[in-house]
Amino acid sequence: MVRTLSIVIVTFGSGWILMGLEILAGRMLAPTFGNEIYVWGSIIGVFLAGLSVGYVLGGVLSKLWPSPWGMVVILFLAAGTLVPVGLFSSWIAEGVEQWGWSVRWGSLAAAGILFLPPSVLLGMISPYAVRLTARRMETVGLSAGLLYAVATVGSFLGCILTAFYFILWFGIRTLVFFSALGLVGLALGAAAAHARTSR
Amino acid sequence: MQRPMSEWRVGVGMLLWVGWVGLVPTEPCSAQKILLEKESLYHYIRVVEEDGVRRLQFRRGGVDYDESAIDLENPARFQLQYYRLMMAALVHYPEPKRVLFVGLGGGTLPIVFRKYYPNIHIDSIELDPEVVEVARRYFGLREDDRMRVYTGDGRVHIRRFVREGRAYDLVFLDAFRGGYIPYHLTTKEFMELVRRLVGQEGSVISNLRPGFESYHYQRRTIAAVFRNQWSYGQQFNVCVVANDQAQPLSKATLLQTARQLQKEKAFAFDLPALVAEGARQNDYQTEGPILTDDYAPTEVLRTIPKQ
Repeated sequence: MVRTLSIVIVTFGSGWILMGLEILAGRMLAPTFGNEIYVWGSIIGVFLAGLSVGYVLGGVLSKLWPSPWGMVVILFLAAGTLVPVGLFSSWIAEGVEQWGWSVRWGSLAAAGILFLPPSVLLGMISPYAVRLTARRMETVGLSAGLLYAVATVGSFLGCILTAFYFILWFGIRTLVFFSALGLVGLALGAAAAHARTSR
Repeated sequence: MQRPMSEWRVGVGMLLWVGWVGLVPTEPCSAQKILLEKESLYHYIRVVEEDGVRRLQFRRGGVDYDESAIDLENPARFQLQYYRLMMAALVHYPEPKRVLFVGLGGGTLPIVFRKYYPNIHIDSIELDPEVVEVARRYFGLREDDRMRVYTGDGRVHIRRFVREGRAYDLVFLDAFRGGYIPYHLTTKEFMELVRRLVGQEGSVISNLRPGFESYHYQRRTIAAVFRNQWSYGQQFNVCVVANDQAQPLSKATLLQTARQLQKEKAFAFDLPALVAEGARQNDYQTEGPILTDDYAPTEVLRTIPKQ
């Protein structure tokens, strides 16, 4: 029970952080590439590409190593990928801009460098969570559906609250570090829950 | 199977139909003609004309904001209050050779600038290619070696200009998206880029909306980058001239320059009166946060009425 609950919380939290990050991504790239529709297109595209790769990798990993520890590792890695985003986003974006590519391809490249790693890793969570919670063949669709719903409700809240309130209350960089801390927190929580139940 | 309609119903229906049709032609009751109505990548654009004045409007939240207006017969007869406020920049740099407009709109200001300064070199940056097309087709903008238009984001181009080592005497910040300035054109980092274009002697002119809380943030941000600033206008637009000159000009000097310029150029508006009324220096809340790339809640601030 505790284990399932921890998996649900991880799914919810990683959905939240992923979409919060997507809103922040627009703010991070606008100073370099403008607040143009291309920039938003690049960002959304990169997150979706990252997610689709993550779904595959998460599925494969859940087959090879179906353990909650896998999830803990993924969360730590995802937190790690946010460190360069928080520290060097403007520096990286400006570096890419100087390649002289058009705004479209430049913003796509910068978005890819910055946000592909975290979105791939966070995309791995959902299939992994399905594997860990599924008990019987007949209920696999149900648990997958419920977990996707949980992840997407998390995404909804992360998206709305970041855009409506957090950007007013905190700086972009602070919010990125909160996200990284949040992922570390989720990882530690999941590890604790697993250690307790497997004892 | 259809039931036959009773006669009175048909009659009422016909009356309603006639009434409705009758209403349609009375709708555009003013003499305003709509010349263009178009959805571009960024805006819902309208070009309307009334009494020889053409307006470019962007619609946002159901309101058509006037972005530009031009008197077709004589563009120098300004149709929007803020145009003359922007011209106040001239008393801070009376003989500009190179100027930059960020936000072209219909191009009224560049067109009029060219009339008063025939040899001036004017560059403009406009985000929306459809707006550039409107300026050409409906506002009479003609491009050549000394009148160039760059299409794309203002900050992206300015960064490139800085890298190319360009210099301008005056930079006019007038990029609006239906009532508001995109946040990345308001931050300290952006102002620092512009500062590098104008050097120590040139000036930056920002067209601001004073009615909202964001106004104080914008003024403080300008103050964080430039040594001096003066404001012109009060109600719906305030144009702020900022520069880094070591010796800020006194109001008396500015007035004197205004009178001299007025004599030379014979502006269609009263420059000395504008300077006499304006050139205020501390007409904002000087204490408080500024806007940076990291923290710029401009979307929220512009919904808060000014204290």
